[in-house]
Amino acid sequence: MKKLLTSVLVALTLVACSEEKSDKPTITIGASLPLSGDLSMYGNALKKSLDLAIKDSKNQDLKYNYKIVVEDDRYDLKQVLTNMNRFKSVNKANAVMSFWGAAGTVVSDWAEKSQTIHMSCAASDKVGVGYYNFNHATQPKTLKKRILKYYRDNNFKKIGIVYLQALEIQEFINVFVPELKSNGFDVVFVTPVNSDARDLNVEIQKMKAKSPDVIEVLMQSPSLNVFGKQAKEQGLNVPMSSINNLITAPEEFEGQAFVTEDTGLSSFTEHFESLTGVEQVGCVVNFYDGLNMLIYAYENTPLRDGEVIPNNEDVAKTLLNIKNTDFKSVISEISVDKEGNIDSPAVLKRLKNGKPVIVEK
Amino acid sequence: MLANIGILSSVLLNTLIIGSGYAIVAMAFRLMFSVSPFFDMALGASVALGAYLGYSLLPIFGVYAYPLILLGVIVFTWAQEAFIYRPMRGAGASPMVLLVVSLGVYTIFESVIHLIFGPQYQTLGSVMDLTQINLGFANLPLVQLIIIILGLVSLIGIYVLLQKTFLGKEIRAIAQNPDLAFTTGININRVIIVVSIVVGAILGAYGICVGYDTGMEPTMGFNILFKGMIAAIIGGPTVLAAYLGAMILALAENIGVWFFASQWRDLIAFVIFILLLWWQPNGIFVRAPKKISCEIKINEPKGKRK
Repeated sequence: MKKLLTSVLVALTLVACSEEKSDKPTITIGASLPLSGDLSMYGNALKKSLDLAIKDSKNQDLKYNYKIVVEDDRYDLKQVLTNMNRFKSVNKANAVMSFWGAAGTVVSDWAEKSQTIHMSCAASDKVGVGYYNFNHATQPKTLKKRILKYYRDNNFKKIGIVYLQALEIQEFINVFVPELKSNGFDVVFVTPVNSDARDLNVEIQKMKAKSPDVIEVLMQSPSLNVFGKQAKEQGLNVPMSSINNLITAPEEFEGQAFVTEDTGLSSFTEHFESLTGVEQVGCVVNFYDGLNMLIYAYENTPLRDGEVIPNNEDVAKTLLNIKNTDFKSVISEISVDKEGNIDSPAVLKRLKNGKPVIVEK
Repeated sequence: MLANIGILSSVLLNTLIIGSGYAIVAMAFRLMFSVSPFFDMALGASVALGAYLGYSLLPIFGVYAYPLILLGVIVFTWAQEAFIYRPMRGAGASPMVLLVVSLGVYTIFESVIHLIFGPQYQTLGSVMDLTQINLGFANLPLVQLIIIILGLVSLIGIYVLLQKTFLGKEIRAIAQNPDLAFTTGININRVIIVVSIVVGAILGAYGICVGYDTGMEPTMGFNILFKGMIAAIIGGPTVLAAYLGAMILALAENIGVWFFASQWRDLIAFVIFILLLWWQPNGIFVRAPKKISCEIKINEPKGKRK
C-alpha cells in the first residue's frame, strides 16, 4: 500500500512539473469579460479574439511569453473590480483589459492607482483618461459624425431618440442631443427605457404622434428586441438607425441602418470567423488589435537596469507613441491621441437578410 | 386632439391587455392563497416554465406540444405542493418559512433554466408572423387577444368552480376557517393538490402566451408574479376583486407612461399599491364590516310606577 501511494505521489509530482519550461519571462494580461448574462454574446466572442491574438502572436519571434487570464464579470461593476484586484494580486498581471464604458470607467481609476496598463474598448471619452489607460474603440465623436452624415444624406430633419438607461448610453445622449440641436436637427422626442421594460406600446403610440423622420435606437437586447417587435406590431413605419447594436435583433430591424466601428480588414473577419466559428461582433477587432498593440509595446520597450520585464511606465510611453508606420493594425487606420484613445473609422451598415452589410465606409 | 384620442384609446387597450396578464397571475395567486395561505414565490416559476417548455417542445411537436406544456407545468406545480410544502406544513412550518422555501425553489428553477437555455432573451414564434387585428387606432396582435380571453375565461372558470361546485365549497370553507373545515371532514391536503393543478394549468397557459408576446429570459417569473401579487392585494380577497385590482394597476401604470415615461411604470405601481392599501388595507373591493352598535336601550314600561 505504501509503495502504491509513493508511486502515485511521484507520478503526480512529475505531471505537475511537466509544464513546458521556457527561458522567456511571461507577461500576464487579465481580461474581465461578461461571459454570462445579457452580454455573454460579446464576452465569449471577445475571449475568442484574445485567444486568437495569443495564438497568432506565437508565429512571431517574441522576447516574452504572453498569457491571457479571463474572468467572468456578468457586466457587474463590483465583479469587474474584484477581478482586477485578483489579476493583480493572484495572477501578477502586467496589464488588464475591460469591455465597454461602465466597466472601463471604474477600471480606469483603479489602473491609474495601481499603475497597471489598461486597454479597453468603450465608446466613451472618459476611459482613456490617465497615463496608464488606453481605449481602442471608434470614438464617440467619430460615430456621431458618421450618423449625422447619414441623417443629412437622407434629408432627415426630425429625429426621435429612444435609449436604454445605462451609464455609457446616458453619457452619449447628454452630448449627442445638444449636438443634434446645434447642427440644426429637430429632436422631437428623447425617450429613456428601463432594461426590464417589456411593454412599450404606449410609448410607441406617443412616438407615432410625434412623426419623426428617423428614430435613433440606442438600446441593447432584450429591450431592443421587445421595442423592435412592438414597433412592427403597432405599425411604427419610420426608418430606424442605431450605433452598433442592431445586429442583436436582426429580424426586428431588417433593412435598417446603423453606424458601427470599422470591423477591420475582411481578411481578419474571415480569419476570425473560420478559426473560432463565432460571428464577429462589436469590439472583437479592437480587442484583437488592442492585445497586439500591448504585445508590440512590451516587445519594443527597452529594459531598465535589473529589469526582466519592461515596467509599465515605459510601456505606456511606447503605446502613446505608436504610429501606423510602425504597427500593423488589422483596422484600416488607427490614430493614438495624447489621451490614450485609439480611434478608428466608423462605417454605415444595413441589415440585409439578417446580416450586416457595409453600405458606406 | 386626434393624436391624443388615439393615444388614449391605445392606453385603454393596453390597460386591458396588461391588466389581463396581471389578472391571470393575481387570480391564480388568490386561489392558491385561499387554501395555502403563504406567499408562494415559486408560482412565477410556473409561468416561466410554460414559456420555456414551449421553446423546447413546440419545434418538435408543433401544436401537439400545447397539452404537453400544460401537463409539464401542472406536474411542476403539483410536485412542489406534494413533496415540499405539504410535508413542511405537516411538520408545523410557518408561512414565513414556506415563503423562504418557495423563494429557494424559484431560485433553483431560475438557475437550472439559465444553465440549460443560457441567459439570452428568447421568443416563441417569429417577429415576422404578425397575425393581428387592426382596430384603427392600434393593432391588436393575436396573442394579446388570447391573453384577454384567457383572463376572462379564468375569471369565469374560477367563479364557477368556487360558486357552483362542491370543490368550490370546500375551497371557500378552508379559506374562511381551515380548522373548522378540517373538523367537518374536508381533506385539506387533497383540496390543495387539486387547486395547485388548476393554478398550474392557468399559469402554464399564460406562460406560453408570454413567450409569444414579450419573450422570455430566466429571470422573467419574478416580475410577473410580483405584479400579480400587488394586483391581488390591491383588489381584495376574492377572485373578481383580484381581476379588478389588476385592471386598476394596469390603468395607473399606463396613464403614468402616457403622461411621463415608461421608466415611471414601477414607481407608479408601488405608489398606487401603498396609497390604496393605506386607504383600504384589506383591498379596495372589500366591503367594510357592519359596525355593531353596543348601545343598550331599556324600554320603560308604559304607565306610572306604583
